[in-house]
Amino acid sequence: MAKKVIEDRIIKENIAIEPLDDVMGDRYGIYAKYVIQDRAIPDARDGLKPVQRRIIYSMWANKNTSQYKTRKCAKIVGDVIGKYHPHGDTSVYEALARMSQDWKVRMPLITFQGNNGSIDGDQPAAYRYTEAKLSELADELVKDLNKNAVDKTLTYDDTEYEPIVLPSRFPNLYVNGAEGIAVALATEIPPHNLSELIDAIIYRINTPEGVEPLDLMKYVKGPDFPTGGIILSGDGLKNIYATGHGRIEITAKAKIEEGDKLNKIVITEIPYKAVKINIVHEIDEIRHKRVIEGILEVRDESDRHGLKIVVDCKKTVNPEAIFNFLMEKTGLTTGYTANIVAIINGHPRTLNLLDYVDCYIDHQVQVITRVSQYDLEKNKARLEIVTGIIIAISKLDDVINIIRKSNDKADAKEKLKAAFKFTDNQVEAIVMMPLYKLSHTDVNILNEEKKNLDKEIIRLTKIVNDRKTLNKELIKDLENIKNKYGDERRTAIRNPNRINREFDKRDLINKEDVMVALTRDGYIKRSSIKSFKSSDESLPGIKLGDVLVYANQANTEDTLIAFTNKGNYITMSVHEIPETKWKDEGKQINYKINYNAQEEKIIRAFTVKHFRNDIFFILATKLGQIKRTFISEYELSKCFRTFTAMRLMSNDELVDVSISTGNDNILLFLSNGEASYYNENALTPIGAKAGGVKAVKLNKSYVVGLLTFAQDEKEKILIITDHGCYRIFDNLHISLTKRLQKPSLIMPTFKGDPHKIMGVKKLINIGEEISIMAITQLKGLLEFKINDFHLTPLDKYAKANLPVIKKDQILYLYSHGEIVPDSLKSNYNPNNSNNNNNDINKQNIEENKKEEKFKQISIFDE
Amino acid sequence: MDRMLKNEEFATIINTIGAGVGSEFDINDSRYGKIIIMTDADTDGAHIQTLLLTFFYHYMRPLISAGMIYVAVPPLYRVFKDDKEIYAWRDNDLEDAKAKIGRGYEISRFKGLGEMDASQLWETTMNPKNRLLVRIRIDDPLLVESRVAILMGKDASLRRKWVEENVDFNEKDNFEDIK
Repeated sequence: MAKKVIEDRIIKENIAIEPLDDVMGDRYGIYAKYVIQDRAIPDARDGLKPVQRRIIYSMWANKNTSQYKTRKCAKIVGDVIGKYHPHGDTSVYEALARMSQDWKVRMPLITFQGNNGSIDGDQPAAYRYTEAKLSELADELVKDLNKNAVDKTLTYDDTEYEPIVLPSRFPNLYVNGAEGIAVALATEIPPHNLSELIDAIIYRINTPEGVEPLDLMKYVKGPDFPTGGIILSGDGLKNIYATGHGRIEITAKAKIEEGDKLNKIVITEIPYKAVKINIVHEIDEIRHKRVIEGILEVRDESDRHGLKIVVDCKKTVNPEAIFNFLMEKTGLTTGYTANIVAIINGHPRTLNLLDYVDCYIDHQVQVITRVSQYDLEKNKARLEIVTGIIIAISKLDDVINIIRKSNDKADAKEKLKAAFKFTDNQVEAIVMMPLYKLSHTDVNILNEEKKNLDKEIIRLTKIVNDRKTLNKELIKDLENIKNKYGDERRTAIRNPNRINREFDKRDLINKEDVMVALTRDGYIKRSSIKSFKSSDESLPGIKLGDVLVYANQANTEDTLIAFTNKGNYITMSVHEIPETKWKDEGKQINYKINYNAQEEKIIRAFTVKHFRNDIFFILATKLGQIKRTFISEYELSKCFRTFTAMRLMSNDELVDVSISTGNDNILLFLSNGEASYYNENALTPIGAKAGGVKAVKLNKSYVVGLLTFAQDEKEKILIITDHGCYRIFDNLHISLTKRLQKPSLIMPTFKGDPHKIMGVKKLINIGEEISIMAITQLKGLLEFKINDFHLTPLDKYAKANLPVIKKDQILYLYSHGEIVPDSLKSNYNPNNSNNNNNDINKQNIEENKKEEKFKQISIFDE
Repeated sequence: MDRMLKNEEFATIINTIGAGVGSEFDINDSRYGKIIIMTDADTDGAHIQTLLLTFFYHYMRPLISAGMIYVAVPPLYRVFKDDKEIYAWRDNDLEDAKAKIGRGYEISRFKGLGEMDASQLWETTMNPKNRLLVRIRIDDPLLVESRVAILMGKDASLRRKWVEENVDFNEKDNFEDIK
């Protein structure tokens, strides 16, 4: 460092010192100003960014306009870079191509010859292959450029002049829109319909006072995208025109074609800026991942006649539901945020519709005034000469005489001026006149010309001096443009309230019957009926030592609900259950639903079509708590973890769940051979998260199972004990009591051979023989055949009659679960449980107060 | 930081200076006593200067504190007649130059370094005898921090406000008088 200082002394350096913040601010300001003014943001008057203006100007200057042939793009780009725009060729070519892309701009300014890219996001062919010229409409942008219509400025290298704005005889900023990201601000101007804009502008010209921005919406209905589609109107649309900033939704245009074998959704227009191939890809992903059922295939059938995406759908699924789902979940609906920022007098400004229209009118008034002024001067100059020549011809002999006597041209001019009071311009024209002009016809032509010039001068003088005349001129010009180029609106505007986008996800399921299996350890699967049949309708494959909780037919529209010993439950739509072979083990539910399968076991499962609010689940716990809750309380829109089905006391666990119709009798079985039988209306319906009330008085026993019976139902019941005693009796043998009255003994046991009831089952539709699958402690899986269905007297003592060896015991029985049919009739009457059982209700409340501390509720419970 | 290190230009700068980067930066290892930022004199050049200054500010701040970061200032004009020529850095330098060269002078205006050939560049911008440098200094650390945060930070609304308050959109430089 020291050495450095010495060096500095030797050479006296020219060093200024500036603070970092100043340098940063200064440099950043230069850059920001440039990017905003001269790169990314269009001028409000002609709607062009500098690069676009330079391209169009250069093409006009090179006679590369609509009435001539197209010209190689490389040549155009080279000219633009060389003369006006000292930047990269790629950005110039991209800007050139974009102005021709009829899916990006509403009215292309460039006519392209060759591949100019595609709505799939393909790039145009390289500029050595393509050709271009200005479109017919673009000629209106540059019209009268040669008549001093606009100011010009020196180009970057000070060698030529270029216009700072184009005359823009149509409102290009709004017609073609713009997008650009500058420093600290950006612009997003949607395209509009030319005819609508011109109507609004004319209205404004005729109504100079008292117009509000939204008044113009009578004419300008909304953006008009080149890609068509549908705008969902609303406040967003109004905001765009009232403030220059607003958000709207655009959706695709599509129709459903119902056929004999399949239905088709045919999409013919997609939202502005959407990339078609991405939408096709999105729909195909939905099909591939089976997010919804029913989509067979999606094809891009777009061709030279236009855009067409076809989605083939299965006949079995409601096509409207698929349509709505796709509209909602894919790029077929997009948001569009307009942010109308443009440069006015060098400043970036956010423009509402009226601001823009006024700015455009001002520009047109200037252009017309300047062009008229230019023409006026031209005409006046011509009139001067024509008048001079007419005078000269009328005194031809004198004129010729003077010229013959003159020394030279200059002398002749001087003498003529002196003789006839000609002006300099006049004498110059006279002396230069060819002799044939003296013929008879040409004199008439001159007179005619003078008459026209007089008229034209009067007309132009009026335009320049009288605003009303100018306005008429402007309106006439705009109407001509509208008639020549105006077209129908392409984008429809709809009230979003009339569009019903709701869909029931069940409509999107391929409805079919399947087999579903679920085990105690949480392995789940569904299999086709075919797979089930090909395995001889046997039991599904499960892991060794696992216990079947559900193995039954279900429909893909149904929902499986499973309860765990921890008092929780989960639900899963049947159509979402992973499909495997019937003999496979299936998948652990953990793949989708988060729970601890090591500690929490599934004890009971049902399939439900609708979560009805007129039938119940009755839940009973080991320590004798019970509750009943409407099935509807258990409906979930999404299930990704376990939810509380019943709040449990510590050490308690859920042992059984049963369906009840609202006036059923509950039969609770206790381990010691007792049973309690009472009407379900003893239980007030409560919510899913609530705990239960006391179900039964326990005598060193615990609850093992629960069955419900309709009022007139008579059913055989199978009881199995842990040490291998089974017996059959029916529910009518047990006397109905009130809740908490002394339970009846239905299976006495010897003290020396104690049996505990471990499982109960209703025997419905029994045939000659039934087979019971059980897990025992020592032997594992055991199958028992039962073929004696005689009723056993209730007072008969329990004695092993199944092949269970001494010291072994049955732990669990297989269950096939239960289907809750939609046809199940509700017998619920709210008065039953409220009025008749007031005493019980009171009791419930007091019991609840007395109850011991509940275990801590999970923080995940809502 | 990771993204910055992946940038080839920044990686080259870090390697060339050879004193590490960020928290590992040690000014004693710097191979150079002066680090001079030299960009085109146009708008994009101005942008690059802000990016580079931000880089040094964030990752090699000791260089700025020690007064080792400079910005080169190329001349704006060359006034010449026959074989006499004078470079001018500011508009009032230009008037002096015109007077010195006398009648019949011509002026060329520089917009980018690329417009100068190697010897011109040496003469005007690199030769310690002639060149003009700006040494960058941190006077008010808080002001610098907030300026860098506004101009280079994530919050575009702050930037927009700054631009609205500090950029004069009225002044239009057409150079028309200098043809």
